[in-house]
Amino acid sequence: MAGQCIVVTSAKGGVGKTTITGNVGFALAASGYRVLLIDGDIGLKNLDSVLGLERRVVYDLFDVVTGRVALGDALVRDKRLNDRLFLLAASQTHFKEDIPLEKFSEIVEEARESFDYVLVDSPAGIEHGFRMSTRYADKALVVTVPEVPSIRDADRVLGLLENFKVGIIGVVINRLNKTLVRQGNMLSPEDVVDLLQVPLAGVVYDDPIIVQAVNQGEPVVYKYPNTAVAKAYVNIAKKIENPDYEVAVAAEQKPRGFWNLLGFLRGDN
Amino acid sequence: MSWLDVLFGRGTKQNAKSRLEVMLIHDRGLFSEAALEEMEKEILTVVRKYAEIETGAAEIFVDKVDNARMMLSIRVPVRGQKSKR
Repeated sequence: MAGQCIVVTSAKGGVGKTTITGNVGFALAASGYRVLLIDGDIGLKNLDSVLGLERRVVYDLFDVVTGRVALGDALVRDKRLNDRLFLLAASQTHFKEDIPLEKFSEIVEEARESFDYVLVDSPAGIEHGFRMSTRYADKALVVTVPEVPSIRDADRVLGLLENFKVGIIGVVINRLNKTLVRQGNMLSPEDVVDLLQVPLAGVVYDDPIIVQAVNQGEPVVYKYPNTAVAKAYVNIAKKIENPDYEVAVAAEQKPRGFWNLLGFLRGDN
Repeated sequence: MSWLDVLFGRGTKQNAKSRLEVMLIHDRGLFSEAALEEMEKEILTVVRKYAEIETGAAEIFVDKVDNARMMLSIRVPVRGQKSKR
């Protein structure tokens, strides 16, 4: 059976598409699927560094498009997983417009043959790179942070995806700050779903562990698998596997132990 | 935010939500001011066939985002049924 192509998109930059693509892709591969990650952000590649694969990239999307190498030879294999996770890197020396849409479509079609999931990390914006990344996808994950400009852009992107006839898995709410939500100073996941009128595909709390993992070039789901954030990424993977999976908003972790008490006294939470 | 808001735990989120509700309706671009005016005229033409309308008191507006995405509300104060001829 041909694999599914899923685009991770947002229009607004800096909301966490790349980190989500890397971690969710890793989680899918860890649960047994063959997964290809394509960095669609031509000119500004980043997916390789989130996964810590930057030193192993030899060929990129542009080399495949021009026929310099075959698709299979351009992929970087993630050694942490046994032949299940691969990356097709973006080119840094070209522009998005250098990749013709139909060539990209051919690559996606070829990749579907040997992978269960092809995840495309879309660039910010709604221009050529966005069209390239979304047009051939079966389904989309729309990423937003719970702030006004990002939600507005997410709504715009949902409209464009509808025009392209791309199915919507749902919205991933990234960097939710539970203290702000409790104070009534940040939109809750329920509010965001209410505004955008699409299913909830995931909620990722703002957590310094994400920065620490990216610093080390390791996916959170691999390096810190027992954290709430890692579980949130795994739940997004479950939602991709099964659209009926109900994403629960993670229960707040109960303060316990000496360090939590210190944090409490300091005014955290 | 006043100290009362802080005391009762009312934060700025409600500002965000109501602003977004209005923004998204406009961004989705289904009802421009001109389109609403045109629609109001046509609807009132139909209503006038059956009821006596208070002139200039009719209102039509898009406001509430709910499961159907938005609510089109029409308020037409009527004096009574139109006399049959």
